[in-house]
Amino acid sequence: MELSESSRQEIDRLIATCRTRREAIVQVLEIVQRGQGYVGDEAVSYVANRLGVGRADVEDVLSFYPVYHRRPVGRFVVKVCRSLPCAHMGAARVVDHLSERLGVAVGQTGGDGRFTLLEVECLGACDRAPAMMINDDVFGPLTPERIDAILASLKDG
Amino acid sequence: MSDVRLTIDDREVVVPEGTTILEAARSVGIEIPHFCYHPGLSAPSNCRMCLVEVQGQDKLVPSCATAVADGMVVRTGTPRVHESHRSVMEFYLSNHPLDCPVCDQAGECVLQDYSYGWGSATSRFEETKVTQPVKDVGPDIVLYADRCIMCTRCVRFLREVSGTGELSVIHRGVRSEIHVAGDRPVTNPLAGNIVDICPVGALCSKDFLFKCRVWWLTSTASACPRCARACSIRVDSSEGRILRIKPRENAAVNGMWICDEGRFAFRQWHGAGRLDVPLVNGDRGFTHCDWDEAIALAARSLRQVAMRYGGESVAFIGSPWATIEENMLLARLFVSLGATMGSLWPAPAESPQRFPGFEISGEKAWNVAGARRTLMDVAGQLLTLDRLADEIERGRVRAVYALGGAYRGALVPCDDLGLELLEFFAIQTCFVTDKGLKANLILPGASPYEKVGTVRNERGVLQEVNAVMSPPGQARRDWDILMALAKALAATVDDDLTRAVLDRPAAQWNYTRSASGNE
Repeated sequence: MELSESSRQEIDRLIATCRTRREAIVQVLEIVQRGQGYVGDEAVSYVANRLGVGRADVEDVLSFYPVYHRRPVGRFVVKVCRSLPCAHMGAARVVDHLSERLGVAVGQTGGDGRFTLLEVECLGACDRAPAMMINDDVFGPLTPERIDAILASLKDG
Repeated sequence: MSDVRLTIDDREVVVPEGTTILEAARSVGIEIPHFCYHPGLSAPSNCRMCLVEVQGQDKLVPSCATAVADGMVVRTGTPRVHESHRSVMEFYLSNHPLDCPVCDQAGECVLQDYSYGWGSATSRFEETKVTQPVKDVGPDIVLYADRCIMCTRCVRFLREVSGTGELSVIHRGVRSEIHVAGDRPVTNPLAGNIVDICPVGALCSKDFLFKCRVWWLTSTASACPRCARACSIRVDSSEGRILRIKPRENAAVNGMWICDEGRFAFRQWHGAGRLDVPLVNGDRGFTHCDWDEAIALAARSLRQVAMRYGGESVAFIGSPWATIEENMLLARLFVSLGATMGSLWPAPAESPQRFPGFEISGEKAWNVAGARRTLMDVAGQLLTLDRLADEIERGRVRAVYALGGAYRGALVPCDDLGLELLEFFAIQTCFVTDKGLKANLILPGASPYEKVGTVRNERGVLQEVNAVMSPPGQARRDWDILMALAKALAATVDDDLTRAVLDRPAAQWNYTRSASGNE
């Protein structure tokens, strides 16, 4: 497990401010994911032990929120909204185009570890439908040309 | 706490402050349909089945989580409420496999019952149903996740009562699923209760699976023989075989739960090795004999010893696995012969097991308190087995007659008792292996599930026990064996006693009687 010392300290500081340990689960998982990009089995055990709750309780929260990744993801996580407004505005075409350009199927990470392509529920960007999110940034309305331009502008590092 | 007065379906109801609408309705026999609510657990009010109308409130309210208020007017059967039940049921049934014909729960399934009331005969659901796996949850429990309606009773039981928390809910919405964290199957000693409280056929007992349709079962109310808590139980049997055991609610004894040891305790008495004929120990070792011969031998031997050495040289040993009545008859019979020394087999002692919402007694027999008190009442004193061994060694006790009835292997090894010094030793017991007790005569008695009588638990609560089946082969109820012996000895057995026993008003013996539990 590669959880850094600073993540561990951050977790300890957080726990100190929580009234019950159960309520800390969401935020602790967020710290873990920010630190190592995903929440693996070892991290689940670490969090359960650290909070004194069962593994089952951690997996409960973890599986409820799609924002958490259980496996390693690419440097760029591309999330395409598939909720109703975006679907009406052509989200399926966006997914097809991205899948072709990136060479990855939905739910997969490319062999070079650069991109992970996911479908998600509402991003809260219906005014820009069809929309997608790449890491922390939201983009839309999307067209094939606009997608190509966005992908070209992405910088590793 | 003060009382609150409200109206439910035009009936005046008075309940303590803080009572929920659902419980208030229940107290006057009005059943509000529900899935997630369980009287022994917290109420998350997530199933939406118990919504009712409260005058002055626009929205229907969840009755399991809404406290009563003075002057509240509740209606549980208006068209709006029924419409709500119907739409909730439509959601539950849309993804349910509707596999009642192969489901163990059919016949005692809340979802099935409610579908008669509020289910639709046709489905508007045209999409593909979400299918979920069959999962192993623990050594005796299997989860048919497809049938689960996500009431979370099992999850809450494991968090609140056993405190072990093995299960949780993963994913969400229509894909929500009861989850067993891979490294921790449900193995705690209270696990079986989650099968009982599952309102549908999702959690099933592997032991009972596909054994019998529930409507063929005969239910017998009794008490659990496994430990001194003597939990109120319901024994479900078919064709003279016990198929499963479930708790009965009894606030004075076990609340709503039982432990798995008790749930499967019948296996410790039944099956291979059960003694079903009288055995007499002669020159050729143990041989079968018939009942008349066996009883005559016992009566003759006991009378001889009493005549030769005096009545006080005959001693008796009562049993914590026998009922109060059996122990009382034993003691009265031998006291009438002049016996003054009586003892009681000790129940195996283990450490008690404590959970946040339950406790398993460490004393492994149901009637320790009842047997001890009864023997003391009649004989005036009770010797420990060590003291009895002393008396045997000193030659002051020449014959012993004992009740056994313990589960396989539970009677203490008697090597230190010096029983071989006796001129006569007879025991009523359940197992061939008790031949090791070096008795002259072994009489096949009844298991706790074959007895009728009364037991008293460690908290002093008296409970009736009822026979689920007859003893196997030639075995007899211990009461009947003692009565036959009394007759052979020409001893007068108090008419009052026999009548008291047959009518079973144990109250005459100045014991506090518990309210018997509800189903």
